[in-house]
Amino acid sequence: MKVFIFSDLEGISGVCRFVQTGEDGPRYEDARRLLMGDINACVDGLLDAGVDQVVVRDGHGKPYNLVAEMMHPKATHIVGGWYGRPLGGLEPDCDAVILLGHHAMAGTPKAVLCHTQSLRGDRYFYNGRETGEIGQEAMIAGHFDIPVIMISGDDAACREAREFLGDGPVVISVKKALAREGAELLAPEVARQKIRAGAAEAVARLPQCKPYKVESPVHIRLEFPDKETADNFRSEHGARAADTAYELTVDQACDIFQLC
Amino acid sequence: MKILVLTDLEGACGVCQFVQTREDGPRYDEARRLLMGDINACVDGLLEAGVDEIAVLDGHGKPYNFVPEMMHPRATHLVGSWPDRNSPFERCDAVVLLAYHAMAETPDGVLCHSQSSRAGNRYWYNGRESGEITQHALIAGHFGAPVIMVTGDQATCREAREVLGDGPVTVAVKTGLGREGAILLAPEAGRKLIRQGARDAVARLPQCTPYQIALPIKGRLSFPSKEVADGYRPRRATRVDDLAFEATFDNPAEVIGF
Repeated sequence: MKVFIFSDLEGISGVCRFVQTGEDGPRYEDARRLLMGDINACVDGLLDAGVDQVVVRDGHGKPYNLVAEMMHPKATHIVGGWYGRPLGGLEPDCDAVILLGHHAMAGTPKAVLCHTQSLRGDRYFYNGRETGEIGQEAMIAGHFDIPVIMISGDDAACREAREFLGDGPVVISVKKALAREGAELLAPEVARQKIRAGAAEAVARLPQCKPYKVESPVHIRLEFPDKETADNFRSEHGARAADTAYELTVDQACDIFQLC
Repeated sequence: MKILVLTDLEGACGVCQFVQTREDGPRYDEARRLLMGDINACVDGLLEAGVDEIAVLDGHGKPYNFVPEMMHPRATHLVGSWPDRNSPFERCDAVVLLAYHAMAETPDGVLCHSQSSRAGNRYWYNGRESGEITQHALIAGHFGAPVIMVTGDQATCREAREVLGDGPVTVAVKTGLGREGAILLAPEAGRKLIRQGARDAVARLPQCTPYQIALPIKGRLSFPSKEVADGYRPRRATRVDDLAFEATFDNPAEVIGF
């Protein structure tokens, strides 16, 4: 069995500030090391459950956040651009996806570091339904018939995962949001125990997890916070649909990032 | 038996960005430490195979990349520059090319280049395009020392087999997706392969021959633009067109010096 862990940074244990998640932030190096703790706990949980192949995909910002020296010896890791590959390296032979360290969509009240793709407040709608990164990544995996079996993050990310993916996947909340940069957090050591146990349970739940599908063709609407941002946006594929919005219709869910 | 380990940085476990390999890059210190892990795994493997003398030569950029405090106690290390650059080759039985990379323009070559990652140099010897693996194998070959092992990404290992044949052990610790993107083994796992590979490489020494090509060697060095070529000051080569220089080498140990 092969599991693909797609890691973000905002929903990692101990992370709750933008100075931790931006590459030039003074606490960024702290956050990279916290990320490795959650990743290695997740890998351990998968191995506990008998998974024989684990691939970790760095999915945050410029995707070079992993600290190689700390990487779990039983997993391979993928860093760098996506090079036209779904989720940057999700092969069709993967059996399941885990969204680790994720966050809620832009505009979510009381959600730690919430946003969708860009921190400036972009919002994405697919066939009319507003969707964040959890939904986007699940859609791409779903196109290849691969289900999400677990997500970790704050309580808002977990709630969003339930709304989009149903009761199948395991959700692990490692912090309770009080504001965008305020939270009540589990100690990373405790959170990692939950992640490890959750990952092992997630493998057992695979039969209850369905690939996330949306109707094709997929109508995409991208809304910007103001006209100026929309004016400066350059899209190879999308068309201007309003002062603050672009739209595009794609045939397959794996192509949704043609408008991004 | 004495082994000379030639090190680069681009092919070390966990390395796949230029900000790790350039001295002023913010991740350079991480990469130096990753390199030490590969070196020490290699030294351990050589010792297990009964090698009694190991020297590790720092060969990346300005060659002062090693972290002395982390150096394996059973190996000496060579850093810096000296007039007789090739003297360390004179007394060794075989060489290891550790943490190497593929030649310039290799599509799946992580951090690939030939000598300069910024200028875009490309080299040909007797008509065959060559990278640093070939250049260093030629130098070692001149002193009668075969290459017994090469480590780096998959593209490096492929290039090593194309040039050196099936004799040497090749150890791939990553697969390139692009020049700065890769599927990587965890360093801890990569180092196990390096250690095992070094052990096997000593046993393979009889199957490895010093690398030689026909003399005199007709060398060609080209640059991606006239502007860059105009800025190059050759020591012995002749400008043959807007982009390229050519030189003839009687001594294979001098092939880098155009």
